[in-house]
Amino acid sequence: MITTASASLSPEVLKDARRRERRVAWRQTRVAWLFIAPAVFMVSAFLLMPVVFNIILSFTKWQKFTGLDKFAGFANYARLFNVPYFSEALSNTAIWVVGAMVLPLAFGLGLALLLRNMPLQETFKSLFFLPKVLAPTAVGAIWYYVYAPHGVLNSAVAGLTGQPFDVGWLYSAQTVTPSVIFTFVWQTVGITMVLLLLGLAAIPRDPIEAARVDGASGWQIFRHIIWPLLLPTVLVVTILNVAAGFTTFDLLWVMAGDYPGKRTLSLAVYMYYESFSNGAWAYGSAVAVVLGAMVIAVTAALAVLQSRVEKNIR
Amino acid sequence: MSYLKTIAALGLLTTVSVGSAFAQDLSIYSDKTPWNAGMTGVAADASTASGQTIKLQEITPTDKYQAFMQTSIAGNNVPAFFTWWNGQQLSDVVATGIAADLTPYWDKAIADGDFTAAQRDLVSVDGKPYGVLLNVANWVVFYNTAAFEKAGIAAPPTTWAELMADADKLKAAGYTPFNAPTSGGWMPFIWFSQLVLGNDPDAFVGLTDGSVPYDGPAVKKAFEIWGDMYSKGYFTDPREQDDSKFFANGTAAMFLIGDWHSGQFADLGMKPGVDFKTFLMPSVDPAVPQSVIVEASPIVVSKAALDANPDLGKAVQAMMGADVSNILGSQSQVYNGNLKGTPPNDIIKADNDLVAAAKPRALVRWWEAVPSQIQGDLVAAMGAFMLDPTPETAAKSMSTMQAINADYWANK
Amino acid sequence: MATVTLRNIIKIYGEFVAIKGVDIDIEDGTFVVLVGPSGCGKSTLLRMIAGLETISHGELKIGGTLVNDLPSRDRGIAMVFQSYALYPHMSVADNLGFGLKISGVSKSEIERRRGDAATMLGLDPYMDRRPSQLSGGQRQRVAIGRAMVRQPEVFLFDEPLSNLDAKLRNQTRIEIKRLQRQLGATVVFVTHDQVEAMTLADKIVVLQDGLVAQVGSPLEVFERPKNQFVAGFMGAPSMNFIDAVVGPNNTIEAGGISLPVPADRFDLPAPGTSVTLGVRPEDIVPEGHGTRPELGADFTAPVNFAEMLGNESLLFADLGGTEMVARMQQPRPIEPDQKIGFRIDGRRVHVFDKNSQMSLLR
Repeated sequence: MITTASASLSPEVLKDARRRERRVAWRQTRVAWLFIAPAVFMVSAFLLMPVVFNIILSFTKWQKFTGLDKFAGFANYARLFNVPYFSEALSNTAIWVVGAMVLPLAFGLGLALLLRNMPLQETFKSLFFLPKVLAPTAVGAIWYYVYAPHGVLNSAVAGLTGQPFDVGWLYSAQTVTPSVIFTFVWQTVGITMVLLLLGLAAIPRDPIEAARVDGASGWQIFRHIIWPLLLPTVLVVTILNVAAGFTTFDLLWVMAGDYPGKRTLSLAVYMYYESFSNGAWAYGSAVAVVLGAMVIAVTAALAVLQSRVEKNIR
Repeated sequence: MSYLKTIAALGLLTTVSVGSAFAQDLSIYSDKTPWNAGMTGVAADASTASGQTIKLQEITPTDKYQAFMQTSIAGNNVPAFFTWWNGQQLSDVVATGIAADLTPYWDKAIADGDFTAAQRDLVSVDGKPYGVLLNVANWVVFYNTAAFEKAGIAAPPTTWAELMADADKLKAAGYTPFNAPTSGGWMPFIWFSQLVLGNDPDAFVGLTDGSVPYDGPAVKKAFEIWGDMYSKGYFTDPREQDDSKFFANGTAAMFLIGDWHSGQFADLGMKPGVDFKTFLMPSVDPAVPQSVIVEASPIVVSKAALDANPDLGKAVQAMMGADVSNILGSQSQVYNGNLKGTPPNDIIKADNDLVAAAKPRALVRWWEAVPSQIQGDLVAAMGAFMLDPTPETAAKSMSTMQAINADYWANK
Repeated sequence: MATVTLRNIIKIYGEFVAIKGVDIDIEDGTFVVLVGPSGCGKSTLLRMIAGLETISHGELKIGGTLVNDLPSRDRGIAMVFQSYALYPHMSVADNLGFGLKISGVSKSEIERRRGDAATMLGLDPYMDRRPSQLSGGQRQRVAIGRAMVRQPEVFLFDEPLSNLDAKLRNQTRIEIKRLQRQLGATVVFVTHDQVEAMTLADKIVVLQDGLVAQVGSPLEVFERPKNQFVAGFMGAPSMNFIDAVVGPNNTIEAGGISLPVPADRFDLPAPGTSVTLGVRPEDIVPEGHGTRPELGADFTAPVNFAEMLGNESLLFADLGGTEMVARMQQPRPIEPDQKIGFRIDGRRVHVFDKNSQMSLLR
């Protein structure tokens, strides 16, 4: 091939060309910057600033009603394990995270696979999605009465068995967390399923058919084709659910409000009681920092994994 | 999301606290829902006296109310009036500097013969009064007269042994001896503290100042008795959230609680002095002199509001008058101790007489005496035991409480 | 390798009848092309053979066995999809080996077959790549390789060349044909491109509206189309159609000219009957280009438009108000509206019944 270098392709010309491109780019985006500016301000003022403040607070001795005057180093963090409540809240949070990660996904995926080719898909979709439309506090209030000592659940069991049944679902350390997680799953499974259905719809039909012709059984198709191709969606859903599991507050607040041990039902709740009820602001901030760090670490790890998996199938 | 909400709230607090208090309606904040009728009357009387509109705002349950007040104080946005607790709780608030020194009003009230200097001490911190008395109550045992009659109990018990024998009789007659709720975020401390002070009042005081551990012999003994009483079926279902239900509907025969509760029972259709009466709780250990818990609730006045609006002084003075005392008494059966006021019912009058006759040792309630930073955490551990009254849970609750207690005093 | 037999195959989607009763016999080792315009049902038919669509009615036999209700994997078929349908998350090697792996074929056997296919298709350098890292032609070869390693009784191709550029399409077409010969495979190949059909097929099945319009060798279908649809579909540019009337003495009158035709070529109706005359562009010979047909009729018309293709030109000219396309060999520049003389080859024209559109060829 013969190329003829243009005489005009001098460094000066190239420099000018670059300047011109930049100018055009700025012209095209300056309006966008204008529109983004308020959002940037809001995020900095009401998200980043409080985060910074919270971190600073966690290194002070700020107690109830007193000022931010004395720095305490890592004392608040050192206290975390002095008090059994933190460990209790931490292990309950771990149960929440695992539950929120696995259960809505398992049920949502099952439902999505069942509904995928169903004629009444839209109806079922709306039906399962319905709980998500309700405010979590409303959901909590409904389920509070389901689980109440003489509530719907116990009455139903008593009615079916003919025996008196009086389990205090929301009043015992063994049952309260699973009960509230069940409600969380009930509320979350719909959106999880809808997202997975979208993910399933985005999987091209051809590789699945190719696998069928290639001799794969239903399970093999799921295992080798659908699951790997759905994995990016699964991970997005997991990130959402895990973050929700870490920070569940409203459901616990409403449903377990009468349970004396409520303050250790999750780190988010524990943080609330330490800060707002006990007035241990600095210590509560330390809990918040630990919780925030865990949320960020786990979701970031999942996000990295997600983008890798995503790249893998492109 | 809640995490973000929380830090956003913290951020807002800093922003707000930089500025000064901003204007708001004049309100009396209260967590004492059962007294709403009387409190509304107090607000109305205070409005008339001051020429300002003062309204009642209620927030319930107690732990939510405390959280609200805390953020209000931290946010420098304190209501003009709010109900609070005395003891350690009041000291904490006074330390922030938001509470008005009410010395001139108390001086006048004492001079007028409404209150005594001893009553002033109930709401004083370092010798200065920081609250108007809303309620002065003795802690007594309410009992259902019909139940006692049915169980064949002629007179209320005067010793612990009699009390236990009566409990067995009531049980045999189909009653649950004691109503013991966990509701409101505070009630679990009632029996805990009673069983400690019934054996060792000094240990009870020591619990609240860090000198006695929560896993020591005094507490262990209390939990043993408590667990034993549970195993005998002496207590009502702790999951019931309506604290008076089992007493009012006749399921439970006795209810250990402040005598300000009498109004609530009256509202529920029990006639004071006829359907229910009271007696003083005997000590567990007969060798220990009898004690009675005295509870005093103040209404705290915002210094900023009073400075900005001197007319509110008239409202404060009115709140200390006999009229307000009688309004509280007639509307909510609450007695604020005003000497010119009429005790609202025979029960409260009788209690005052009982105390005057027995001369028990007066103790500040655990709730007011304990540092507020660990109050809720400790109550949670007591509540955990009530829901699962086993020796294992007792051991766990004790070690949890002591860990919290030790950590607090070590880091104070 | 095996035969494929379709007997009275019907496919319905709700109220819509997509395949309306199709009979096809595919002999062992033949290359059969299903061709037709979009919507004619050719892909549906192929997918029914593959087991990707249920068969509403009729019988499908592969190698003599009724397979109507057998799942794809038990039919002994392999399929190459229009989109290639490679597994995007697997390497080329895994794409090739997937079917064998899940069928429990031993590792060494997978290696052997995969190696053979890769060598044959020139895929050796790409075994570790993912489909997204391959060019269209390479992906196509992987798709073919994936079908090959399974050593199926029947290969099914669903428009496999339509996503390739023109040059690659021609190359791959030849490769597919060569492979089929080498393997002696039975192939069912779907395309809408009649050139592909002509070049690849041992046997062409022309489909029209869910029915078989004609089955035959490429030459047969081209030279003796059974009806006006097949005549118009096969050949590019399409056959010209013009309204005509049967004239006296084996002539057809159309557009003001009288075209003599061989007496033994048609079963012509009585003179005066309306018919449709079909003439392929190459049978309208411009004066001075190509061989002048012996039997024929001349007309002169201005050229409306000329399309220069290099080795030939397509001339658009009116004959009695109908625009006809003529093929000009060894083209020369044509001015707009330039008048040119044409001669229609009477020996090669087609005549169709006006109503049934069936060919009147004898």
